[in-house]
Amino acid sequence: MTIWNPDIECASRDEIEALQLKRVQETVERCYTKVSWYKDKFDAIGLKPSDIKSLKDIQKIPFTDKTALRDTFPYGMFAVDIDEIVRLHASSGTTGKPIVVGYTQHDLDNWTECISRIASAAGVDKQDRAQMAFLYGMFTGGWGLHYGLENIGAMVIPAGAGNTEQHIQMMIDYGTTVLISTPSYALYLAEKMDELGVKDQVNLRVGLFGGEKLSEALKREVEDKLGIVATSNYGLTEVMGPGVSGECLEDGTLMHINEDYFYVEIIDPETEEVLEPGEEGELVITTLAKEAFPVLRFRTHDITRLHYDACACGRTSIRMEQVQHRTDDMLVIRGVNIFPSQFESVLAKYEAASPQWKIVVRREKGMDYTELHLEINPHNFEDSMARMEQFRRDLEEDLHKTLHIRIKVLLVEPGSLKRTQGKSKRVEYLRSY
Amino acid sequence: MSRVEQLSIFIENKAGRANAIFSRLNDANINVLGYMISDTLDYGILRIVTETPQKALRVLNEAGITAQVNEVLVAKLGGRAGDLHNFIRILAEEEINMIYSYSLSSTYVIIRVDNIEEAQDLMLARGIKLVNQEELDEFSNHQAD
Repeated sequence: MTIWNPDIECASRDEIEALQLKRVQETVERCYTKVSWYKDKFDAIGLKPSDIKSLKDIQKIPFTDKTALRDTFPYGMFAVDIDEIVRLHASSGTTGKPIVVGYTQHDLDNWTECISRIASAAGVDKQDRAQMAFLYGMFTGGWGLHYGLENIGAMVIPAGAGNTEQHIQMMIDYGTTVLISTPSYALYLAEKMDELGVKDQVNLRVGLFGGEKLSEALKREVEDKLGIVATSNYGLTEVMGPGVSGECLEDGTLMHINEDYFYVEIIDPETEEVLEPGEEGELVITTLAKEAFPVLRFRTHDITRLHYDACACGRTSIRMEQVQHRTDDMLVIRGVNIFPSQFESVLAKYEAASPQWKIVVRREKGMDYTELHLEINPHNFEDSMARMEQFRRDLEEDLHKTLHIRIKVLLVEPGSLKRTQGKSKRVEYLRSY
Repeated sequence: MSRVEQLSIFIENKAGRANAIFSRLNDANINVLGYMISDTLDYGILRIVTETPQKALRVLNEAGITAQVNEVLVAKLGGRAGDLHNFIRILAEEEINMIYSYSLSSTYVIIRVDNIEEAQDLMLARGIKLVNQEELDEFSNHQAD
């Protein structure tokens, strides 16, 4: 199996760490001199870029959280002149405004390199025909993987998110061998193929899955139903997009981290202490080569564990486990990040909206469906079905505009939602994985 | 005043929801004179006209059921051909919007309108008999005999 960049991917620990130190020093210098947010943070604790003399010194650097990226909307965290930016992407923020990230041409080239390695590790090569089922647009999923796949010589079919039957027809017509999507969408495709009775006309062999957790059970189900090898990859818009790590074919669960581009730490999310190697905790990422949008010690809120042992595939990189859960209440619906606070900001616009509501995520035939259950109370109840339906539809429309996914609003009886002590539990999952 | 108080209750479209409400009223010996349920797939509004509506409201509230009181007109029609049409036509001619309408029996028709004041006066002026709560109770007692 091809290793895309053996010099890096199979480098010794010493070689990697020397490169990481050099790059982290450059990144810290860039952040300090180009981004006032970082300068203020450093100055407040009397830290100078020259204080970072070893990789261990990274622990002296303050954390960066999503809120900082949101508060500096749109360009406050950019470390280059806007004229140097050749691409923008965005991810949903916790309220209102999105988090905007920029890329220089050099950043895009590095992104392409990261994806080339991950796709190669999953066994994809120039003979493959790779069909993209991620959304193109501001979301990093589509564009991020696109260029790396082209770079390794695969034929990219940029179908994008959309009509499932059309996707299947394209797979048949163009001889698609690789599917890039969320695992749940792959499951949905499989069910649709069965329904249409066309599965034997589809030649898929590999799935590159991201955007949501690929549990063992889901992986097996997708592999069985589509007759493919399912691989997962990991990334987040704030540090680049997909391409932080990806699975090789040897192990089948752990994801190799692109350590020359990302320095990873595991912390206790409560105490913020860096944990011992191998302990489970929150993943913290420092970008090592980002020009336009470097981030230092970015708190991903993803809970995982790192593995330092050698992999049979020959790569020497640290590997991470599938993200099991998050430390915050972010929901991932069909690969789109959503926060309950976004629902709150929409509901706040309605005087009639009840403070009693919850989000219910259910999965039917492999697809996620999200519902907002809103309690009726004397203020929002009207003795007219037309007005009640109008209110319900207006709310659905508004949620769609804000969240970019369809949410079904269900009106429920007063007192029917469970009250919890203290912080109310807003999200209920009715899906098995 | 020729109006009647109607109770409107939001209910989810689940088995037994209307029954829960009717059984509370029954336990309190409140006679339900008429009702209507309008529904979508997921929820509906139950409207009821009862004896002693304020007492009915209290009974429901005590049971944790949120009910809203709305004034409606209850027209007593003669039961002759054209009576119903005549009654509907008055509203149409004056462009009063009918939100919904249902009947207690074939001759007692309930209607909720946008402008109850105007509709009431119009009905009375056109010789439509509107009944009030006492008359309705009487009708109910009479039926029970």
